[in-house]
Amino acid sequence: MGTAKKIMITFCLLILIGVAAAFYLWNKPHQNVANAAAVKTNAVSLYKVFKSDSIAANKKFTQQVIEVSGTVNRVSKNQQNQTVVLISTNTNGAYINCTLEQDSKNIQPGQLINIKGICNGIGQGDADLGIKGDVYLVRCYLDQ
Amino acid sequence: MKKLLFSITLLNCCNIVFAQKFYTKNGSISFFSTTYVENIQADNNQVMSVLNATTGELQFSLFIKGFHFKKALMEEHFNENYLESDQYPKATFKGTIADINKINFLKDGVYPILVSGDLTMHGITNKISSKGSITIKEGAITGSSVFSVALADYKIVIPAIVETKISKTIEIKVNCLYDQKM
Repeated sequence: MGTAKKIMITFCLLILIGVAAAFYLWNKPHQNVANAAAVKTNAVSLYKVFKSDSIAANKKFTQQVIEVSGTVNRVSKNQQNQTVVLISTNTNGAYINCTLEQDSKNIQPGQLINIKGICNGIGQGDADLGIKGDVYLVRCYLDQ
Repeated sequence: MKKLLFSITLLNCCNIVFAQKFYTKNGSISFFSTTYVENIQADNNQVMSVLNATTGELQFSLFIKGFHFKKALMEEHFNENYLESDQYPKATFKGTIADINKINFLKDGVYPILVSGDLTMHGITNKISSKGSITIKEGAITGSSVFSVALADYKIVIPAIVETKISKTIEIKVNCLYDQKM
């Protein structure tokens, strides 16, 4: 095989690899939250750590898959018909605010629950109005 | 039975009359970029919004990382390269609804509104104004609006290589059900 032919084949292979890599990246799926390893905590300590040291809490939890245990305070639907579960903390009016990716009809207030999701940090609330910020979890799944 | 129904209705009305501020921590804001190459949509359903029914003051705040895209790569580029969400994690709006007293919060209906105020994202604050509506239905209050922002106004730079895929003006759709009151 001549050198020119070898160079041509290598060049074509490189282009193919490049196209395949670009195709993979473009169609790369979102993180599989349901099967991901999670940092385990409970609603009371999660809220407490965000309130007492938000920098440390952001480092440890934000954009991480976490699994939170606690008591359901309220279940509702958002404007896109996703289930939103509020888990009680020990602060009145402040919750772990979980938006579920799967549809779930059997969650009741008062129920003990384990929810796994991606933590987005603590909302700012409104200190003047006394509205407390929730800690948000998105793309959540019930951990049975 | 009639007395009971009357009492429930009266209680609901009293709740609305006495409550002056309504809020949600799970409002929805979506944005759309439409070009001939590709349409892009992202949704954020963790929007906090407070509506003062007396003064017309209205505010929103959301995490930029709360926007969810269909494609993971788009979400990565949006956060890391365009909105730089580690540096500017939140977007906020503080403004007022003009002539709030024209809205009868006790009567079902769709009330057109004009909102104006300061929109802050990517570290830049600009004055914006937009038409929208407040819908009252059986005591539930929903605020909605659609408006456009130019990426250049917020110093959001799109690299030349993907310039054809992302519109220079983004349409933003707000839809908030104010399910909490105080």
